[in-house]
Amino acid sequence: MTPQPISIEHLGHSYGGHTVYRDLSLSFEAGKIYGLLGKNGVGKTTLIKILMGFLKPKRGICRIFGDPAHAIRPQTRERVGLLFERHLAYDFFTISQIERFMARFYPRWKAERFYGLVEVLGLPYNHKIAHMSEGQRSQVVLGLMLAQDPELLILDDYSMGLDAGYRRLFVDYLRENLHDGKHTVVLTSHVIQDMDRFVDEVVFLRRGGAAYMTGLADFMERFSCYRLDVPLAGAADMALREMGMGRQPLPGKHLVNVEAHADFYEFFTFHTAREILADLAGEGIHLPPQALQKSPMDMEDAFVGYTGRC
Amino acid sequence: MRAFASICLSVLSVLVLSWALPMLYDTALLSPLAKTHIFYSPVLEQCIYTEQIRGYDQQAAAKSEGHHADIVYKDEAGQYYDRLAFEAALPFIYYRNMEMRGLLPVTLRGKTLDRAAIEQARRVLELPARHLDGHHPPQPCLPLLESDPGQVALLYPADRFRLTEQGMLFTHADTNEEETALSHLFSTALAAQGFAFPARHVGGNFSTFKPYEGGIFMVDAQGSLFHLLRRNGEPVINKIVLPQGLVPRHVLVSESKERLWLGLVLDSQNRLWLIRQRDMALIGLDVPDYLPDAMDCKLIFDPLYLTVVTSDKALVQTTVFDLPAAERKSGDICRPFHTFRHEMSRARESWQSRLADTLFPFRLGFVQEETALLYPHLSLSRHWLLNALPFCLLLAGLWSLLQYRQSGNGLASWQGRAEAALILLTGLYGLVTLLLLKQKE
Amino acid sequence: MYRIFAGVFFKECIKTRLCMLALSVFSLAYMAWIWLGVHRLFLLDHPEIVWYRVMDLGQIPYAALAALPVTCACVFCCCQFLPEIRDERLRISLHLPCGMALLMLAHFLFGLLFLALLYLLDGLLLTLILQRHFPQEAVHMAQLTSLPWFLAGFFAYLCTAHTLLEPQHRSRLMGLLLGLGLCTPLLVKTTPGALAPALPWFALLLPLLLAGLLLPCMNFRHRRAQ
Repeated sequence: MTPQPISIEHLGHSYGGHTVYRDLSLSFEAGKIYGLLGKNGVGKTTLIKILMGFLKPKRGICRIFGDPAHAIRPQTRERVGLLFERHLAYDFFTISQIERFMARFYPRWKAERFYGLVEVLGLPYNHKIAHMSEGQRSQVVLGLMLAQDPELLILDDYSMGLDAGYRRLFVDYLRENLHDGKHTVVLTSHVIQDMDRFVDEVVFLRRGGAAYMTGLADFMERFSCYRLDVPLAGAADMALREMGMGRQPLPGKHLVNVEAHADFYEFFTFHTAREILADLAGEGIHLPPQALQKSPMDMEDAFVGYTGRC
Repeated sequence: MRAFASICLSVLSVLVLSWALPMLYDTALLSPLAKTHIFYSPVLEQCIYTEQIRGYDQQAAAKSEGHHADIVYKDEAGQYYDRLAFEAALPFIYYRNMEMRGLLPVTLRGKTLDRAAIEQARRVLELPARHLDGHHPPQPCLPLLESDPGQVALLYPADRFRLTEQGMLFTHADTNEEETALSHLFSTALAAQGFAFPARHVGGNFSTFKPYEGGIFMVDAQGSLFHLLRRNGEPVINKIVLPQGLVPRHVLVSESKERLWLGLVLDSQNRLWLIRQRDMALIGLDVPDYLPDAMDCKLIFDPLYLTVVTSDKALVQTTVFDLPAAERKSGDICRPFHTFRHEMSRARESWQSRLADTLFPFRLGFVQEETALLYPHLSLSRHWLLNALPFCLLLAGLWSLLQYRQSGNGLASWQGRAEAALILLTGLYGLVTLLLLKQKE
Repeated sequence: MYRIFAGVFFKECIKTRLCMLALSVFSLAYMAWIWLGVHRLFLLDHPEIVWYRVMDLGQIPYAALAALPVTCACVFCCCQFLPEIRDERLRISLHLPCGMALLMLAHFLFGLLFLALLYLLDGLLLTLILQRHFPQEAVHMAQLTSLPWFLAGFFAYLCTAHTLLEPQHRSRLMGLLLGLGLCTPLLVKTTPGALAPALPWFALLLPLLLAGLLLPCMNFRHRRAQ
């Protein structure tokens, strides 16, 4: 049986007294693109470091094509492409030198992919990477990764430092080259709205190590936001504001999150407005049946709705 | 791989610490003590010595009158002296002080000796172990001074020689090139005298700060001894007739005004032979238990006696002879009339040395008194079993307990056992190594 | 293996070429200064007196050379590994599909090889400088006297690499301790040539240190012990 690109089994990790993961288990299927989402401090970077093999977890194991991520064999490493945060590269190289350096190590090296991507920049091949802008460097790094022809790509915050144009270029290139069912991609980004252009699955990481993996399309279809204008809240205003400010637990079992704004409330759920109203009624908050209005969401709204603003 | 790399670093760290920690300790607490100065007193007719001590000696303190209480003056019978009495017992050593105090001339063994007589007879020859071949970096390119420079002071020659298989080759300092004519002259002359090249040993006093140039001695490839003098640029060669069984190993040359003894020969059987200047006769000295590779040797001539002082790191021995008579034949061996052995204060224990022997189960050193060459050598604590090992055991126990409290793994894991074993074997060195190597999580 | 060494050597060449050039020029200038010092001795005194001082009294007119190998080693090591430590760029190399031990050994061997060539140049120049004025015994003694300084340079390079690569402050002290402990005995003032018998023993420690350097590399890679 072909091992999965990534499997995480009972992962536990902590720094000092702070527990990042307690018992995290996830499995990533081949040929899909995964977006790793979570607020700051939930352990995205830690998980990426563990996946990249640069941090050994305290408990459990994280496997890359069956190898422990921290002791990955060279032949397995050949199948994995890494993009480090801020598009890390050896900036003392020129474009042609870095290609020459990397090509020695990868038997399936596809130089045409690298130069195809670098051509777009219109820079001479003896241009030093240190003299490039962040956007130009991102193209070089992406080109190197694609030339490596990996089956699994792990991209750590690919959007950091890129303007809208380079971000779009980067994402489009990823989508056109990797969205073919042959490549598995795990990525994180601070710019959520780019993800809906090509991500298949999303993994929501929450504080304390809980994770929720789902298909993006399914998530966007099932996850809803209901809006309640403040005047309609009436006497329940105080109780709803407390919920919106982070009071736990939320009433009933259908609400995922409540956000309080100055003039309206947002209720996030995978269920219907009727079920939310019933949950609220159980807390003694009685709202008229038409008080909750479904509000349209893009990817970023859904992310914030699911994980909370703070 | 991690275990292998850790072992490599641990070995290095233990080696470095076993050199550095004892050295720092010694610098802070254990100042080195010089060797004991020991003499034969013609007044007391026994040996008398002075040495620095660690700690407190009540009688020495009483004699010192509150000044330099760590300096002890004693005779071989154990009687203490103050400084003035000590000097008075050694009129041939402190003759200038004696003269200042009006105590000269002195009459001893029926001889009345004034300052001039003492000065005339007094001389010291020193043969430290580190001067022997193989105990210092070789320096085979040597000067041969002109014995008749045509002026009062000796002149340093502008050339140097080396003794190779090809002969005695001279190089001129101005050109840094071989002087073929001079080389030929000396090589031919030596060969004519039966010298077998190359030389095993060359002995000489290569200095201009001496009353005259006495030449050099060379031991040839077959063990014969030759004396070579450069006179008016020409070689004057004398093949020394060696007593039966004498194979020279080292020759010490020391020219002095009295021109009686030119130097000293150490032979392959660790025997010492004085070289008489007048006829190059070799007069043997029977010095018991002398091991030249481990001991320093000092010959003190005075108007009445010849005292040979031999000492290793811990023991000093004096062997006293009557001055060899002028009519002694070459090959005669002088017998001593008095010997005395003494364990030097530097070898005695103190709380500082005992503490060091507890803290450090072994130490790595490079310097050894008997050689100028630096070799690494490990020496075990003198109280390894009774002091160092229990201390290591204590440290290992404490470490295991600490590990057990921190991670629940004391001696249960192989790693815990390996760490405890490292501390047990290396004590503080292992402990410091682990403290530095252990990663914080 | 050839692939790894060729790749790493290519990268290190590009990265450190300016540093290598600067150190080579600096070494040449330094040796020129030593030559001036030796030359001046012969201007101030008769050659036989200079010989006496150097060969009999043990004065060493090239004593300034003692500091050069260690200085060059530390500077070169910083030029080689600081760009790797900055933003942890070494991760790029560590992800290359080859064994970590071999990859890091290739890095260290590149440094050692460059230093060996540099020291060979220094040693050669020292020989040439002295050969002009001194007999072969003095030249040989100078070579024996300077060998420990070059060996100290190799130790300084590896210990600096340890200190730079190790991610934890406390463990960095190990690099400093080893650097001081291994270099000090080799740089201490002694009778010229006195350290020669100890050199094989010291040289034995080099492969041990090289192997031990894998520990900070592993710590760098995994950021956690065990």
